[in-house]
Amino acid sequence: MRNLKNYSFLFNKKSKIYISICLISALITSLTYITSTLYISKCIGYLIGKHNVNFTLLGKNLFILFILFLVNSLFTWVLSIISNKFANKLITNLRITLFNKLNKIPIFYFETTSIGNIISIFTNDINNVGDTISVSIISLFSGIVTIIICLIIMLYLNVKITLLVLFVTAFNFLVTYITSRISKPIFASQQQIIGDLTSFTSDVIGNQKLIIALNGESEKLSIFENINNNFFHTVKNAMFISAITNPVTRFLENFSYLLIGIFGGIITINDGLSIGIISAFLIYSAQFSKPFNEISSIITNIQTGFASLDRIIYFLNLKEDNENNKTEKLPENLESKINFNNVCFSYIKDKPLIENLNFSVNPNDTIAIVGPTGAGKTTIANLLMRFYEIDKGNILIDNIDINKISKNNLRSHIGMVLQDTWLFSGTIKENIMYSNSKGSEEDMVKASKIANAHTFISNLEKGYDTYISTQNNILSEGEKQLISIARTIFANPDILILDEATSSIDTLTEIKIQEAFNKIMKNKTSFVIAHRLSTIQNATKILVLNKGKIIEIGSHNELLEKKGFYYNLYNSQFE
Amino acid sequence: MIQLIKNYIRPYTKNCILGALAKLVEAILELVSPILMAKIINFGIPNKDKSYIIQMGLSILLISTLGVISALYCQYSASVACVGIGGNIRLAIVKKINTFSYKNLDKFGTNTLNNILTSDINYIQDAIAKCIRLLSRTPFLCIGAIIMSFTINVQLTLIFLIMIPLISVVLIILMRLTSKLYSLSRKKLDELTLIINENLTGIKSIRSFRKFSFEKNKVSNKSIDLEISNNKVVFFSSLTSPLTSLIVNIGIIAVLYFGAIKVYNGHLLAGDILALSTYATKILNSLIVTANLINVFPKAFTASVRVNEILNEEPDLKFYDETKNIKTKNNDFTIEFKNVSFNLLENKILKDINFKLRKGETLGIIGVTGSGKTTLINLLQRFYDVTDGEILLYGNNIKNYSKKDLRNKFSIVQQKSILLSDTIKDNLTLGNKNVSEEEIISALKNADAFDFVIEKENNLNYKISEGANSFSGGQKQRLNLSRGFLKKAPILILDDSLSALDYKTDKKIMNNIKNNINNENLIIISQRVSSIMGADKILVLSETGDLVNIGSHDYLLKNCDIYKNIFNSQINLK
Repeated sequence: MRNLKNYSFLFNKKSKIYISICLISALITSLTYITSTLYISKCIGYLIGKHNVNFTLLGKNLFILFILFLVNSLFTWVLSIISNKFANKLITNLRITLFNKLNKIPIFYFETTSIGNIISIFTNDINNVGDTISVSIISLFSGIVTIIICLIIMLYLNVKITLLVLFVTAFNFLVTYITSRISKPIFASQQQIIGDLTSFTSDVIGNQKLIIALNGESEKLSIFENINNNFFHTVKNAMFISAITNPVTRFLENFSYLLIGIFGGIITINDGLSIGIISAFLIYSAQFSKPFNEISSIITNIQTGFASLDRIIYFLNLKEDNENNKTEKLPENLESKINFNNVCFSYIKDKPLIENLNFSVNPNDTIAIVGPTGAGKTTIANLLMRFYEIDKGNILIDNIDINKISKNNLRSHIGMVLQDTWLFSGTIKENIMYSNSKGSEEDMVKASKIANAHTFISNLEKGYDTYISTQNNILSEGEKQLISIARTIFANPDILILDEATSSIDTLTEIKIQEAFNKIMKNKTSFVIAHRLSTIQNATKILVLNKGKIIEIGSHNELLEKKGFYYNLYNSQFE
Repeated sequence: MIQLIKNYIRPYTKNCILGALAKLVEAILELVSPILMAKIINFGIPNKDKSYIIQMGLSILLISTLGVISALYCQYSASVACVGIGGNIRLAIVKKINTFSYKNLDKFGTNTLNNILTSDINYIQDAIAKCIRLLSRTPFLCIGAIIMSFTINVQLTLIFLIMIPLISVVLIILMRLTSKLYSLSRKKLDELTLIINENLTGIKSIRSFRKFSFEKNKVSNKSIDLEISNNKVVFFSSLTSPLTSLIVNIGIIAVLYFGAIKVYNGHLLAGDILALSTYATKILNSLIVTANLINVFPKAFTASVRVNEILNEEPDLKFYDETKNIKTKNNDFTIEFKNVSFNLLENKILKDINFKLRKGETLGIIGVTGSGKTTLINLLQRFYDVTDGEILLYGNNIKNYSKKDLRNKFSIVQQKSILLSDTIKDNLTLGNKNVSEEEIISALKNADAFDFVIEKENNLNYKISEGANSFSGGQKQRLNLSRGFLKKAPILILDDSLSALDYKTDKKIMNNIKNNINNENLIIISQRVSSIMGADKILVLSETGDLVNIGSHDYLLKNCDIYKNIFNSQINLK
C-alpha cells in the first residue's frame, strides 16, 4: 500500500475548501440524479390506464422533476469546474516547486541525465497527475455517493430484487476486472513496439542523409518492414482489446437489465408489487452499476497518475547542493589572485580524474590550459565555478577558500564563456543584457563592439531587436559565440574563464573570436581552455594537462625549449 | 483523404465493409430490446404471465448476445483495417523517402518526416477506426430511434425532432468555443515547455550569470498564465455534458406530460413511455459520440494532405538500374569536374568549377563557411545533380552509374558525427556488412577509438543510446571515422571530420590513414590548414562559391592571398 503521507505536500489549506466544495457538489448531483429517477418512475406510476391519470399530482411531480434536473445540471457543471480548477492550481504549484528544485540539484545530474527525460517530468508527468486528480475527483466522489444512495433506496424498495442487483453488479465487475488483467501485457508490448517505431523514425529517417551516403537504404528498409509488421500485429490486438470493453460493458448492462426485468417481474407478480417498483429497479440497477464501470475505467488512469507522481517525487528528493555555512564574502575590489592547493577531484567514485593539483595565478595573468581530450581541462573551470565540489584540498581566491563563500557571491565575480554556446529564444538585446540586470544599453553596445559582434548585429534588419530562436537560423555558430562572448563582457566580471568551442567555425569569424578573446583577457585574471595556438601564445602561463595532472607549466617559449609534451603537441601541426 | 485510403485499403477492403455492416446489425438489435422490455411491462406483468415474461426475456438475451457478437466482430475488423491501412501507408512513405535525394529531403526536413510517420498516420488510423465503429452507428441509431418512436407514437416523436437539432447546435457552439480556447492554452504550454527546455540546456550559463530567480519568475508567471487559460477552457468544456443532458431531460418531461395525455386517452401504455425515454437517452449518447468523432476528422484531413505531399513528391534524381557505358580502358583521372555550377533555391552555391584528380592523389578543400565545400562533394556523390557542367568518375559521367555502384565508390565521414541507437558494431558496419571482427578492431585502432571502446561494457556490442550521450564529441568523430574506414571504398572523403580532435590526435589519425588504409584517393575538407597542407592538390573556394585557386600548399602560399591569410591566422608564425 502506498504511504499517503508522501503525497501530503501536494495539498495546502485552500485544498480543503476546494475538496469540500467538490464533495458537496458531488453529493447534490448524485442526490438530485437519483431522486429524479425516483420521480420519473413515480410519474410513470401515475399513468395507470385510460381515464386513469392524476394530472394534478403528475403536474406537481413533473415540476419538481424539472427543478431536480436543473439543480443537477448546475452542480455537475460546478463540480467539473471546481475539480479542474483544483487540479490546475495543484499542477501549477507542482510545476513551480519542480522548477525551484532545478536550481538546487548539482550540475552532475544534468550532465548525465537526458534532457528529454527531465522535460517529460515537467510536461507529461505533471499533466498525468492533473488529469488523474480532476477525473478521479469527479468519478470517485460522485460515484461513491451514487452507489451508497442507490443501495439505500433499493433496499428500501425491495430487498430481494436488491440482492439480485448486487449479484449482477458483482458479476459485471468481475468480468471487467478479468479483461483488464488480460489486456495489461498486451498494452505493455504495444508501448514497446510504439517506442521501437518512434526510435526507428527519429534515428533512421532523421539521419536519412547518412544512410544514403552509406548505401544502407535497403538494409534499413527490411528492418523497418519487420518493425512495421510487428507493429501491425501488436497494435491491432491491443486496439481490439481496448475496444472490447465498451460493447462488453453494454452487453453486461443489457444482461443485468434483462435479469432484473425477468426475475424482478416474477418477484413482482409473486409478491404483488406495483409496476412502478420494477421500472424503478430497472433504472436504479443501471445507475448503481454505472459508477463501477467508470471507476474501473479510471483505474489505469489513476495508475499512470501515481507512476508519474512517483517520478516527480523522486526528482524532488534528489540530493541538493549544500549551501549552509557559506558565511564569508569576496571583497568588492578583488585582486584576483588564485591558488589551487592539493586539489583532488573525481566525477565517478574510485576513478580519480584530478589528483593533487597545485598552481597559483597572479592578478591579471592569462592562463592557458592545454592538453588532449579528457585531460580534465574543462573540469578545472567547473571546479573554480563550483559547478562541482572538490573532494580534497582547497581553491583560494585572494586567500579566501571558495568553499566558504556562497555560489552566488563567487559567481558574481567570475564570467565564463562556455564551450557550448547557449542563447535563449528572445531578442539579441535580451540575450546580451541577460548577464547584468543593472547595465545600460550603451554598455551593451560597448560590450558587443569589444566582442566584434556589433558590426554583424547592426547589419541585421532589426539590429539588436532581432528575435532569435532555435527554429530560425539567422545566426551562424560563430556569430552565436560572439554574442555569448559579448554577454560575458557585459557582466564585467573580475575573473574570466573562456572555454573555446571545438565546433568548426569559418576562418573569418574565428579570427574575430580570437581578437575578442585577446582584447578581454587584457588586464583581467583569465583562464582560457585553448584549442588554438594563437590564444596560447599570448598567455602568461601555460598549463599542460594530461590525465588530470599538470605535466608541464611555463610560457610558450619556455615550454618549446623544454622539448617535451607541449613541444610535440605544438609541432604536430607542422609535420 | 478518401483517395489516399482507397490506394492503400487492399487487402483490408473486406474488413472495412463487413465491420461497418456488423456495427449496423448491432445498432438494429440495440433498438429492438427496449420494445421487448416494454412488452414485459405492458403485458407480462399486468397479466401475471410468467411464461410470457421468460419468453420475452430469452428473446432479449438472444438479441443482446447477437449484438455483442457483431459488435466484437466490428471492433476486430476495424482494428485490423485501420492498423493495416496505416501500416501500408507508412511502408509506402518509407519506401518513397528512400528514393529521395538530399534536395527532396531538405524540402520536407526530418522533423516533418518523423511527424508524418508517427502522429499523422495515427490520426488517419484513428479516423478510419472511428468511421467503421461509429459513423455507421450514430446516424443509424438516431434515425432508428426516431423510427421506433414513430411506431410507438407519431406526435411524441416530434419532441425528439426538436431535441436533436437543439443538442447539435449546443454541441457545435461549445466545441468551436473550447477548441479555440484550447489551442490558445496549448500555445501557452508550448511556450512554457520551451522556457523549461532552455533552462535545462543552459543550466550552466544560467547559474554562472546567477539568473535563477529571474528564470523562476518567468516560469511562475507563465505557469499561472497557463492555469488561467486552462481554467477558461474548463469553464466552457464542462458545460457540454450538463447542458445537453438538461435538454434531454426536459425532453423526457415533455414525453411524460404529453405521454400522460395519450395514456389518459387510451392511445398508449406506461411501458411505451418508458421505451420512449430510453430512446431519448440513446439519442443523446450517440450525438455526444458524433461530436467527439467530428473532432478527429479535421486532424486526419490535414494529416492526409501532408502524407500525400510526400507520396506525390517526384524524386529529384533518376538512376539507372544498371551502370551504363563503362569504358573499360584505364583512365588516369579518378575525378574530373567540367564547368560545374550548382544553384539551390535560386542561390548560386558553386560557380564554374574545373579540376582533375589523378589516381592516388590527395585532394584538400578549404574555404569559409558557405563557400560550398560540402556541396562540392555532395555533387560528386550525386546527392544533388549539377545545374550545369558535368562530373566524370573514372572518365565516365556519374549519371551513367547505378545508385549502388556509384555510392560504393565513396566512403564519406560527414561533418556531423552521427551514431544510431544500435550497438557499436552495427554502427560501424552500417556501410559494409562483410567485415570481420579483426577488421573492425583495426579500423578502431586506426581511428584512435579502440581504447575507449574496450572500456565500454560489452565492447563492440555496447548499445548506444539515442543521441549517444555517453560519448564525447571527439569520440563520436572517431567512431564515425572507423565506420568510414570499414566501408573500404576507393575514395575516402573526410568532411571536416576531425574538428573536435586535438592537433596531436588529428596528426596521428592522418598518419594512420596514410599508412594503413587502402584507398585510391583521399579528399579532405577542413577549416584547418594543418589538416590539408599535405595534400597534392588544394582547392581554395571563396565565399561566393568560386574556385579561387588550386595547387599544392607551397604554390598557394606564394600565389593565393586568401590561402595565405587563412594560413597566417591559424599558424601565426612570427
